[in-house]
Amino acid sequence: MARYQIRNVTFTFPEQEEPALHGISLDITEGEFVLLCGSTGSGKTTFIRHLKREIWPEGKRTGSFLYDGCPLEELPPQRAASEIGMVFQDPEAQIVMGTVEQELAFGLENLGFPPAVIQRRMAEMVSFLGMEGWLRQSVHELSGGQKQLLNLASVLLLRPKVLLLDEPTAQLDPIAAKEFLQVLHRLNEEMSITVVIAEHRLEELFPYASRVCLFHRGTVKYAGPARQVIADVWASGDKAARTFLPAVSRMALAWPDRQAEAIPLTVKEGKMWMARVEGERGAGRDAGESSQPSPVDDAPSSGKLRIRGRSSADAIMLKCRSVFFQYEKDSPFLLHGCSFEVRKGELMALMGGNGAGKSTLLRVLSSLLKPQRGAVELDGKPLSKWKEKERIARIGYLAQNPLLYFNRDTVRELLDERLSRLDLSEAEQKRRLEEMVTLFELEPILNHHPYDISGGQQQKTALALVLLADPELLLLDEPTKGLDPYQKEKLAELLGKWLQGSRSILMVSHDVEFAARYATRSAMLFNGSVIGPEETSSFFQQNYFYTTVVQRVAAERWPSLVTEEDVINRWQAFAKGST
Amino acid sequence: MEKKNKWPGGFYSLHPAISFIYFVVVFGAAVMLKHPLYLLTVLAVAIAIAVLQDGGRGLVRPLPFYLLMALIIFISNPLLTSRGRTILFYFRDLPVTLEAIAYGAIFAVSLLAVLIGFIGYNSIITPNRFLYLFARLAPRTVLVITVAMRFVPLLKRRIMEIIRVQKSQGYFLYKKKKWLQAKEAMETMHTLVSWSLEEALQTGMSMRSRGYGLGKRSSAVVYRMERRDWQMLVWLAVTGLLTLIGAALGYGRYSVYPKLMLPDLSYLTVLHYACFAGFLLAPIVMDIREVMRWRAIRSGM
Repeated sequence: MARYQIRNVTFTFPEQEEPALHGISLDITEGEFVLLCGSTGSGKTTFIRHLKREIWPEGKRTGSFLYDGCPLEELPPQRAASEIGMVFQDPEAQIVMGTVEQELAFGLENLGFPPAVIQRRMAEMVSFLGMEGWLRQSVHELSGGQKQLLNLASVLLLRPKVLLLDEPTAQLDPIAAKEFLQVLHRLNEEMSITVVIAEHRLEELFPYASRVCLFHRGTVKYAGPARQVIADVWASGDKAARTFLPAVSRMALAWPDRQAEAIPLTVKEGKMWMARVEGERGAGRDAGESSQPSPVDDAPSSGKLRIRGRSSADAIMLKCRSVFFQYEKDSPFLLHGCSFEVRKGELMALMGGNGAGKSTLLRVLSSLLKPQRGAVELDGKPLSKWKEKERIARIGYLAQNPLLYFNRDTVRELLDERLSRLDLSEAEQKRRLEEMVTLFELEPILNHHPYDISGGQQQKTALALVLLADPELLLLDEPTKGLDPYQKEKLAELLGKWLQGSRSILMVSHDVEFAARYATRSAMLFNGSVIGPEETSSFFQQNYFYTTVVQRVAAERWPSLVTEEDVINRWQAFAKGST
Repeated sequence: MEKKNKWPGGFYSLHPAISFIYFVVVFGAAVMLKHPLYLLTVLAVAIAIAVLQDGGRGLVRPLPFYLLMALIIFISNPLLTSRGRTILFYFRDLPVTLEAIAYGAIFAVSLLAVLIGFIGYNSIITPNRFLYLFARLAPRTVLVITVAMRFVPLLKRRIMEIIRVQKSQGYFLYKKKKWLQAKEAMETMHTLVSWSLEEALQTGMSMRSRGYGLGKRSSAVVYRMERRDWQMLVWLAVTGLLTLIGAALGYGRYSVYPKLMLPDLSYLTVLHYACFAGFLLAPIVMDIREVMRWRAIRSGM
């Protein structure tokens, strides 16, 4: 039975000419796992919001949505609320109540269920999701992953038949995200709940998806089972669309003679595929080669991508010496003897789970929080010895949420206001403004309200605000959050352009793929101190979970290859060598 | 957060409606009574409840402040009024009477009883229980209060975050120019409001998508009236009613003015006091019995 029948839907936001959705027709049957992918602004979110009537966006809409054969508009409200569940992107903003227990009960209370039913459903759900330990906690004590699980649980308590999710793992660390997606997979398999999910984290989702829809400018450009979509996209030669495919599949597709029906999706399949190809190509010869990869072969691609300034090697920009930090007297130490250094001219990536203290560390480094013990030195001089104005000018700090930076009505006013605080000559102000506007391509949005532009543009605007001061050290907190693969590439390009001379960047991120491709050195924050830092490729070689999918596939053969480009180059060299 | 009680069968475990009624009577008595013996009983009971609930931890910190307030009232009353017949001495031509001093003492005890009573009240009628009690009267209002209660710490954290970002952008550097600081603080508020509105839009969507506003809300939390609750209710009702009837007939009343005298100790007055004490002491007896029981169980283990 079809859950949704969507016929020829076109939707236009008010005061816009270009429709956000254009002629979309789609049938979703019961028990399907539908993955929506595509760049930001391609209409995924708009589409997913149309599947639930309560959150239809304002605008002009044509076409029809049938749910179980009944037009969505005519569905009884009680049924609509309980059968179609929705989880949003921001874990914090969708929570209504103060404690976990209250939040779980919220939906059921709204629908007027008697207390006995609420208690029983809660009991079941809490043990299914393993939430017993934090049932009585207040919401703000939870980590991001826990919050998102809570949001899922409070929707599941209404016993939905369809689950809609809009980038639910965008703000979670890789391990928490995997856990979350596994719960979804389980629900889909065990309860036959129909899942429709829009995501950027595609590596994990392609194997689960029974159908993949690739959105492009408000239309569904490719749709079908995962392998078919991959083959179609690859065959079409569409460069932008290719970035949405799982890296394992892309790696296999780069192999000269490929078979479409056996495209690997998971690490396991990737390994099997590799073994098979190798077997076909004469295992005897490459056994010797694979055990000792020549460093010359994989050097060019890593070198090309890695962002690196041109500074005398090993000059130190920032030094952190056994820093201890706790927020309150009785709270645990988030930073516990944390020591490391950032060199001049490098992009250093710092990973770690949700709540490991990454953001806190950045705040300490930018002197927004004072450590209880230990010292931070910038350019060999302790932060406390710098003049406040000078220190602020030298350290640029970009917080996670760009909205924190917006206190004017247009982007132009924001930039002007920032410049006016910098004690610069008029000519210099003008020069810097122009530089930023061209670097970040802000020209078209200069007169827009910062709340009206897309997430990627907001991120760029905030970054431009920080960089206007021309800092030497840039501290970035999750800069790739919510960006699609294309935007990430753009961001890397921008950072690469900016990172010249002796400037340095320290970035904290969950984004393993981004760090593996672009960081000069990488490290991990665990248990309050920094482990590492090491050259990125050797860092990721040693990791088991915090590493790229490609590395997990290729680790046994070529341990030094961590990015997709590395492996693809290696492949090609290997193919040439064997033919 | 709902607190965990050390003694699962004590006063805290009663139906919140009963505890609430009890506290209403205690506060009423503390404010209205003027009889020193009755008042001292109320004070003693208030202290006992506070101590039994959390071992007196909640009492220790505010106590010096409470005592100071009581002391000020105790001293200032005789200085402000000169009512009463027994003049003890003159303070700057002002007669200081024994009655005024006694009244000040009674007033101070009454104040202390209310203040300390609230410590016990707060640990027994937690905000959640209070909301539960009134959820049926005004369900919407209660929900709004619950949501608002989450917002207070949330907005505080958001303000801190915005201020940090502003500091990193070179705000709040003018140490001497207060008006410039005030201007920048306004911008903090501006950012806070627009950010919070943006988040509130999402919260609103999440509420609607979970069926908010579709009909009458129910409540997940239930407190059932158990046998203990009924027993307690009957006891409180009987002793309470007898006390009220007695009070209406004039027992337990006392006035220091015009002349300080010993309260009467007639047979019926003692009986009335016994009823009153029976009412007040019920939860304490409950708690102490509970403590003893658990001590016995634990030492037997």
